[in-house]
Amino acid sequence: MNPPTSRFYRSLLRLLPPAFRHRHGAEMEAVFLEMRDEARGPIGRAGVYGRAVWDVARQGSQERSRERAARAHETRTTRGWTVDEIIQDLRYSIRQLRRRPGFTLVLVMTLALGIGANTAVFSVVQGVLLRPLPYDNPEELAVIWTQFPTMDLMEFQASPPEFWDYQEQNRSFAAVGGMARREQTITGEDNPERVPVAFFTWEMFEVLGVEAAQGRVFNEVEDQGDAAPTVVLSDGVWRRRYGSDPGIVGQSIQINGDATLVLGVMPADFAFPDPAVELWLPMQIDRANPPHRANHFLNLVGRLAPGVTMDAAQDEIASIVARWGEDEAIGHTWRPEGHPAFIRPLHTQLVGDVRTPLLVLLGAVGFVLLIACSNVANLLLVRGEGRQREISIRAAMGAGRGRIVKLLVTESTVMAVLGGAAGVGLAVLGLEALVALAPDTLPRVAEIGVDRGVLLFSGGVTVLSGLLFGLAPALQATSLNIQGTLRDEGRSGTVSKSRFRLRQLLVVSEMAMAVVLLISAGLLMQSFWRLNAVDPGFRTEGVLRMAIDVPQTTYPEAEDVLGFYNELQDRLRGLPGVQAVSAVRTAPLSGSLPPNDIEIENYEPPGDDGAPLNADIQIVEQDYFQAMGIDLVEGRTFDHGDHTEAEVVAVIDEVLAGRFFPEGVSPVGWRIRQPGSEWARIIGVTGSVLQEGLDRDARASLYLVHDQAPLTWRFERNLTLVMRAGVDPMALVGPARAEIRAMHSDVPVYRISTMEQTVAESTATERFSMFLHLVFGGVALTLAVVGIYGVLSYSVAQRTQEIGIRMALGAGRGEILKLVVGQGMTLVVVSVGIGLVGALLAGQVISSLLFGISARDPLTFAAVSGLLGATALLACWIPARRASSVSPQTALRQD
Amino acid sequence: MKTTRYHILLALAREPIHGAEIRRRVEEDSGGAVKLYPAMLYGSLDDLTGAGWISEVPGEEQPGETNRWRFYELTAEGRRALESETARLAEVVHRAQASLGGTG
Repeated sequence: MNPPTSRFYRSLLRLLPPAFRHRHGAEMEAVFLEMRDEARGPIGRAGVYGRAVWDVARQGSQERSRERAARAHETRTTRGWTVDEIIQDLRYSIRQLRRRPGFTLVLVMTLALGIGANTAVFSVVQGVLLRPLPYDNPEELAVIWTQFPTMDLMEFQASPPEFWDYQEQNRSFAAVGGMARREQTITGEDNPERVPVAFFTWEMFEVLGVEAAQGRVFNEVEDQGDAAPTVVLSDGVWRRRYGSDPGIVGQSIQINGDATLVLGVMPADFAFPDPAVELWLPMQIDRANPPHRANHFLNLVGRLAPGVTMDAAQDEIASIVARWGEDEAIGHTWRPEGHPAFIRPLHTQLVGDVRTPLLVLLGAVGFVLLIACSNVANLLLVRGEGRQREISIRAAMGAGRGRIVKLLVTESTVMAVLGGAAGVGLAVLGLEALVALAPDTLPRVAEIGVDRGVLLFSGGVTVLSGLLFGLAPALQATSLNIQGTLRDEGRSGTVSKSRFRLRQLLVVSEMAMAVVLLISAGLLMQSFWRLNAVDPGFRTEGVLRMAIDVPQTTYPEAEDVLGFYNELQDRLRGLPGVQAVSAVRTAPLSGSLPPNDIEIENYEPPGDDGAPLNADIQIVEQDYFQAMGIDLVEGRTFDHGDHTEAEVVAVIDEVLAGRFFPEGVSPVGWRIRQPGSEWARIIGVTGSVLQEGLDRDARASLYLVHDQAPLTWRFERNLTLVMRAGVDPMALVGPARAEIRAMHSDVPVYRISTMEQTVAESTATERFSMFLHLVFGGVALTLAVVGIYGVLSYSVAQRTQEIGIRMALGAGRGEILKLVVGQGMTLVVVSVGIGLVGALLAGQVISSLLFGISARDPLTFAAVSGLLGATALLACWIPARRASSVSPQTALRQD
Repeated sequence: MKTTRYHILLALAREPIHGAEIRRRVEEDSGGAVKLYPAMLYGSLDDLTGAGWISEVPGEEQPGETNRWRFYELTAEGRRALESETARLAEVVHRAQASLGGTG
């Protein structure tokens, strides 16, 4: 017989499933040969061959799908994709990936970057925003704030009488507790320590629904005004200071020199109101001798009664406050509507400030992931072209389009899973850095971690990415004309236009997203610069600050404390390199001071609302303005003659002067006081200083000198020392500590930093945001540029022949350069256009994070467009150069 | 009923025959219009066997052939299907002629 023909037909039969082939193969061959012999002439025979191939391929595909259906029925798997197929696809995918390790590595790392960034940021979002607070039914917890709108105090504390009224009159809350965050000194052992503490009314533990891990929390009796001092320790201080000694419960420790009974130790995860708190002390307000109604110092937290909504509770609180306003006997405020109250869910209160920045960050990394996916999709498209023949053969062998799509999607999913695994690894590493970088103001940092929820998220993101970057190339790859590819043997000239268009589309979307990210990063960066350029009102460089607390045991009276401070300052002035020494109640940019009512002698404040004058009262030592470098505007500042025996004096700042003295009237010489204290004559006006933050306005400030404070205010045990040094201020820490220790061994020294560090800390959140956005923006730019480079290089390779013809017809190098660069820059211009529109939309979200710059800042928009344009131009230039150096002969000979 | 299947049933109407012979007779019966290429042929034979219209019968040794051919015969059910389809086709032809006569 005819061996070559038989061999041809036998190999053709391999397209059929084995069972069919074994059963009918021999007979089929015989029939085929018979038909071939019957055919007349070479054309007739060729027809028989062709139709035989078609016949076998078609039947093969039918038989296989029938087999598949049968097997699907047997194994009861999902319709259309059996377990066998999946395993087969997986094996094949892994083989494919291993065959090109470099390509795989690039893809996996790109994905790992995207998925890792998303996982890390989502961990933060999950820990901070999403996870419920670690209390029973945390959704029932709400904080109650009071307000003094005329003083611009929109979130203010309540006074004890108000607190008691809420407790007695409201029905919405099952319980209401009060709290105040303070600092106390643990003494009695070798190292005195100033620690953050929270004073709780006894109801507070009940409201939160927490109990001590050891011992117990304090009860109603222990919270009474005349009760003995008791304390509940944090897990942290118990481990750190008391060596995890379970015997500590029932013993006494020294707090501010007082023996205080340890009632219990809280669980490690109890961190209310914040993780820094180390002790919980009973508030012990004396009900028999209650504080004044205007004495606002309690932060209130309530637990809603079952079935009561936040809105209902809000309404009730409002009506209670309105009733107070009508009751003359209460003498609540000068106007009923002048002191409203509102409630806010505790969770919102804790995370409110970081919610927007975190969500914006999540949006940014989402973009990074999309860009990474686009890039991977692009790379796959390139490779998909190299695989056209393989796919065509598969199709010819009867693999349906769906089957091939599944195979390709399996491949991309395998890649996505590798990328996802690497990404989670990166996230675990990155998260440590992220948490380390995170500002102290980020709440619930301890709760950040890669947990099940985060892994679930990463898994979801991974699968989604796999589909996203895998599906489009797969659909593209299978939509091609099989016969066409087989005939052309996948030659370069036949790549479909739509496929190239898809790649262009991907690059455009990548670059557009990069524009959005870069503009956001640029805006945040400028916002940060502007924030840092704000004049805080003092000279930041060269100032060391350290807080101390003068112990009551050794220095019980006012004159003892004042004497201590004066002697200490004299000693510190003697240190080499020290230019000025002073002390202050609360250093600038270190937190707000509660505003106080003030009076000016023989002065009626302008305006008709009758609101009392108020100002922040700063207690300072004499040389404060010199030490901090605060400008004197008028008159003089304090000097060492301003002591208890001399005339009582005050310095005010420009804000206070501007608010209460009409233009042309000098405040100097007028007398001012806080109600009930001695009058102080205003001797000078200074520049205003930012107390609460660089992005907050300066508040009206009244400075009183510490030596006279017993007459005008009260003496302060704990002040922040400020020292202006000619040298590196941190070099003063050791000598200063030694001087303090030399005076008394039981004085805690804490919060040691330079004022420059204080300024930096006050913008830590902004720095964090900006830094991350810059990193993500940079990644986005890199990926987008790689993307456009890839597309153009590919396009140039595809068009070599065309370029050759153009050059043969007389086109110069310049024209070719222009052609290719023009093609690339068209994409860039379109991308930038779309990106700018996107950035305008994104601006609505980030505008609340910006300081001193509009979210539509034209300069930023222009700069980012320019940056992207320039980078992209470079990326276009390289392939364009390659195109222009094509030799026409080589190009035309190519195929 | 598919044309190829009808022709295969028809080819088997008189006696049990094997695949190659079926192919020849179908081509002959259809005046060369229906060419059964091998895969289609044996796929259809499998289908018809599965449907119970034909069945395999032990064949006799063919002199001069190295293959052992499988022989197929029409089952009673297959014959009924062939007859009803033939009747349907006859009806179609009848109507077609009437229509053509009517219009032509």
